[in-house]
Amino acid sequence: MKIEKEYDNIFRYVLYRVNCREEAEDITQETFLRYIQHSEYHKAGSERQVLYTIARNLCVDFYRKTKTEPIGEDVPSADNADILRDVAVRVAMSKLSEEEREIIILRFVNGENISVIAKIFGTSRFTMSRMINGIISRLKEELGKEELL
Amino acid sequence: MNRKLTKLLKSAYGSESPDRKTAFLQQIKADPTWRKLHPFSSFFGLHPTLMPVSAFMTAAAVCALIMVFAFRGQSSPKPEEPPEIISKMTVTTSQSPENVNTEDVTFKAAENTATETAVTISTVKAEKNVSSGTAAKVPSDKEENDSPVASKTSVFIETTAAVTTATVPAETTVTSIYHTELFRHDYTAAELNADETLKYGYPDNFLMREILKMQFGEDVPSDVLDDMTDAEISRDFIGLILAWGEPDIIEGVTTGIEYIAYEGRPWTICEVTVSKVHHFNCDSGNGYRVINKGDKVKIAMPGGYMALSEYIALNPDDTQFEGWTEKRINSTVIYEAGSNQREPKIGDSFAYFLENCELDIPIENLYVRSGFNDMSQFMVDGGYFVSCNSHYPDYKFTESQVSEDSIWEYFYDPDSDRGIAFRNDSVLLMGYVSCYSIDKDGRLKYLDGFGTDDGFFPFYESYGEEQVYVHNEKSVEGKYYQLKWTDEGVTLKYCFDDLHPNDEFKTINFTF
Repeated sequence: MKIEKEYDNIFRYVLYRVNCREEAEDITQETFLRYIQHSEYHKAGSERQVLYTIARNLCVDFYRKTKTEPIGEDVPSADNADILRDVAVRVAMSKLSEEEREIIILRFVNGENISVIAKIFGTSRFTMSRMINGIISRLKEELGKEELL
Repeated sequence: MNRKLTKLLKSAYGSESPDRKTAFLQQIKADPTWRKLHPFSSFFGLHPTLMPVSAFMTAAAVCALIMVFAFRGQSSPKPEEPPEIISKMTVTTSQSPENVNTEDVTFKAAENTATETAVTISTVKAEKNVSSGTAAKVPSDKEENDSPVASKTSVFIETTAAVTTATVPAETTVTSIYHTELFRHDYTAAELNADETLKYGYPDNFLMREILKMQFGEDVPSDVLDDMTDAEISRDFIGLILAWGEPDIIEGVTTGIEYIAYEGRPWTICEVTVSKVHHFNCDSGNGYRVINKGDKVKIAMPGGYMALSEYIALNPDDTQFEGWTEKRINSTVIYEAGSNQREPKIGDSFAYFLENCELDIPIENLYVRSGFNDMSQFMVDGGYFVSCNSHYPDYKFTESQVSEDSIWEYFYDPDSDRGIAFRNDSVLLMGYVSCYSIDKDGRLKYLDGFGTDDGFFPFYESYGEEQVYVHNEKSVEGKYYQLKWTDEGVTLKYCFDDLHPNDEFKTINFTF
């Protein structure tokens, strides 16, 4: 496991979910601390799945404490065209369910393979594959309306 | 099309970088618990049946410590005396150290190397290495004066085993791939004693071989082994296979062996030329990957050979070689048995249950054996698959049980001592599902089959926590199916597709 890469991935995932950099930094660190402190997590080949699961649970705890839902609408600085394009993507994403957005982030932003995502969501990778295909179709339809695809 | 989508999504969501990463990772990497995390320390936890082994080995390690100290007290050996070196190794370099690329160092054994093995040394050494460390959250600016949120102290006890001498197999290539992300050290090339063109020469065809760890089950009393062997394992093997995931099942001949270092430990990369494909898996995320007869697949196996100098460079906390002279270190190759009871050889012919290798070993299309060990490596004899792990003699089954198709779902009822398995009759998930009963000897009997609307297996439409993998319930119920046992057979009610949840549930009866 390349910890630098995994750290970035977990951070992006958490940031997307909690929509607050400071909290995302904290939750990411807490994720790795919990991982190393519990030997039962140390199963070769499943590190990413375990890290995502810990992070996911910590995000849920965060929601419970704050009673806020992630909105994921902070737009990174860039030039105007990029901003408009990113906003259009986020608008299209907002039409998906929270779970579907999460799956898309894991698959296409963090580049996780379907097996890992399927395990995180407790389903088979065949089901996950079909879900992703369905989500992509709808997302592409939305993005096609904006002539982004 | 997906590439463009990925680009858009990464632009919208993937540009964020953490601010506190560097400082936090420095602390993490200093934590001994983290540094101990590598596949060897965890592969015993992969399957519940192996957990007793892990516990046993811990106990054995403690016993070994006690025995060693007792032995030292009685016989007063000379701990500083080095083991006999049968012959020395010459090292030739052709590049200056300044030009060394430590990311890709290749060692190649000299040709005409004998394969004779000599075991002459019986020194047993034990070390107790107690260390501690702390990792904690790196505070943000506003938190800098706060106490750490969490901390950890760890204690380790390590034992080492016998020192032997042996040859390194002829015509083997040892490629060193330094994965120093977790164990980054700023060693110079001279310290690593490494060079892109460094070669081992074997003037007398011998090298020292240092066995790093107790082999799996080594010196384990037979009665303990009997206890460790799961009596149910043969009968429940299908469940075991499924617990391992969905393996590719192939037979093949080992046509190449390469040794690499990964996270400071030796691994063996076996190139296997496929002679028969019993089942291949597919990852729809990356397109269907098909293994065909005649293909060469590479399998990563824990354990193998490694230059001791390299091992020490990558494992500076390992004290078992303290006091060794540089000359002695440079003439020694270590061997770690890893999870192999038998050292891989060119010409080996075995069947393997393979999974994609998700370790960061930069070899494309790399596989590992299911469970990372030789339980999932089989001798094929007379239509029987027999596990190469001799501690599991009952772990065998017939070729027909894994041929052609994979079994996608399995349930077992301990009361009736029967199981039921469903398999899709096409590896491309098109069309037809067959149902089999499984008797207590693991034999399959065809019961019935049914077509599916879209080729997808209905059980996999159960979702989330409702997906059931229970072996001890007479009634198994998921979101889209219900399975009930009766004395006569099994009744399955299901609907095909989670996309059409309002479809009427269909019922099918399987009679034993």
